[in-house]
Amino acid sequence: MEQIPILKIGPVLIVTIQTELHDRKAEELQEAILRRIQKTGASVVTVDITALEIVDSFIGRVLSETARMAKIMDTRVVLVGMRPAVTITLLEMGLELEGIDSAIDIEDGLKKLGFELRKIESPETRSERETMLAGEEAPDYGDD
Amino acid sequence: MEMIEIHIESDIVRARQAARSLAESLGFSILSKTRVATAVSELARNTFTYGGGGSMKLEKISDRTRVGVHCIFVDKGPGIEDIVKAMTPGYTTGKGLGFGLSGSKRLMDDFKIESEVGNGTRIEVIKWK
Amino acid sequence: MIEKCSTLEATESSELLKSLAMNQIPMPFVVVDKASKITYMNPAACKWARKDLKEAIGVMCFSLFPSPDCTLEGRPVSEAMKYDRTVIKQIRVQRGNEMVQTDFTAAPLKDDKGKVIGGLEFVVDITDRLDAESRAQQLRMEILELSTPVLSLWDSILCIPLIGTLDSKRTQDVMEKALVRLAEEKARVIVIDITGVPVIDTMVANHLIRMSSAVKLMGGDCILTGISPATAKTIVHLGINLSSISTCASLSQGLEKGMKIVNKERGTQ
Ligand SMILES: Nc1ncnc2c1ncn2[C@@H]1O[C@H](COP(=O)(O)OP(=O)(O)OP(=O)(O)O)[C@@H](O)[C@H]1O
Ligand SMILES: [Mg+2]
Repeated sequence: MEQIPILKIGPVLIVTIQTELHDRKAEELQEAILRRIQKTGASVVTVDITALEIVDSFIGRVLSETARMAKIMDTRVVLVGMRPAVTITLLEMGLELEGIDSAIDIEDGLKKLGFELRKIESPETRSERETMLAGEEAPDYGDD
Repeated sequence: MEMIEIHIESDIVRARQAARSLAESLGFSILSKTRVATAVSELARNTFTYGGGGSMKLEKISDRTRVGVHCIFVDKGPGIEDIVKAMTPGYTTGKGLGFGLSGSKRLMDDFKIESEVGNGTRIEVIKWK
Repeated sequence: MIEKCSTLEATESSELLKSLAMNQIPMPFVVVDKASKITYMNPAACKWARKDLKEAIGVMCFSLFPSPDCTLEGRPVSEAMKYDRTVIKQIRVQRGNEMVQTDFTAAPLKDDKGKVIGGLEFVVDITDRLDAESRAQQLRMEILELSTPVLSLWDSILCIPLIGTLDSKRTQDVMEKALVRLAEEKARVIVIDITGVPVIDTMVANHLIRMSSAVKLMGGDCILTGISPATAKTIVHLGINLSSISTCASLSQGLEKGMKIVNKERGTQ
């Protein structure tokens, strides 16, 4: 099973969910995000869910809990890229994602929080380096 | 007709993917496909978590003017004592949000639930295209 | 004319009347025995199958009226005979080289003691009806489409001028369209102008609140404009809580508000 990458760019953690998220994986991701917050002292986490075809009550709960837990650790979580169909379905079910801030994409999410992407040199090269770094310093979680 | 056993957690994903691809093959809109997959995910998870495992029967349904997706979830678990309560948004006996049953009822067109304490639960849902 | 008709009603002519009627029923009509072999069919059925009555008798009905929607066991007429009930199904039936959409009715044929001795089949070509239905449906969609434009008002700002009544179906439609555009264009603000909505009641207000929640979940902001004094009064009198949506009296004020949001994040202010 692939693991979900958590990149660090300055004070920002960038999480991109690229696979089908089943329950255990969602819980593991929550754990991994909180551990990385603690380790890095990041002030913002963006969670990109563009690839998610559904968000049901379980995933919704995990996302909203993660945001609230991070808030207690003084870190903001911004949810990015929720699809129109997913959004409408969530509302029809009557679910509210308490504690969640959203943004249309990562750039917009950072802008909302007053970050400027341009100032953090070239995002591509930087994030590649960060991925490598992340691989060395943090075991994160694999499929163990 | 497809029979999907629900005994381990990843079966929830298999169930919703199967329902989604049936809806897709019948030409459902993106929104309706999402509704079907989400409702199936909820019901399959209940079968797994509360029903102690069971199965989902998935098939195409049609009448004179329409086609749809038809799913039947069956488990031989403890059953539900008070169905009215269980269907109330926000009611849970576990650590969920309690939106699974009421939410999937709203997402689907037909929703039938039968449950007997000690004998298990059977939930039948239909979504028309 | 009237007299002729009345003579036909007389008992001694009833056989003639029956045969005239049978021969002139414009839709195909087939009688089969319990093994589904044809024992009679009317001229309309002969024309459909391109067979004389003589050639048709004794032939299995499904070989003259083949349908891709029927399995051997699942044919309407077998079902009708087996369960002694009328079965109506929408199935495709082959006619020459074409496949025709039909309403296919099958009923059991019973003797005078009520014992099932065979089956009756009627075929109604509904191609035209289905065409008309789908055209009507398309027209409805087009009208709906026309009535809910989503406009690009400014860079990153979309506008939906709502006109007319807002029911659930329409709100759903507007919402879907607006959210798709929001995602596609990565817009930041949606201005909903309700100048053209005659009545705001609790239901409409709930639709608007839901729309705003959806936009927020996707990372945008909703601004409601075009609120007349009358609308403001109704909202307060009905006790509707619009605090979750940002509101303005006029569209231009709404645009200004939207531009402020966009510019602030760009750091140009
Ligand atoms: N198959 C089942 N067998 C036994 N009990 C069930 C079953 N399905 C649901 N229930 C009961 O009904 C309650 C409500 O179910 P529902 O799916 O609405 O909420 P939940 O599963 O508790 O939370 P959520 O689905 O929001 O994560 C459950 O807490 C459980 O007690
Ligand atoms: Mg549940």
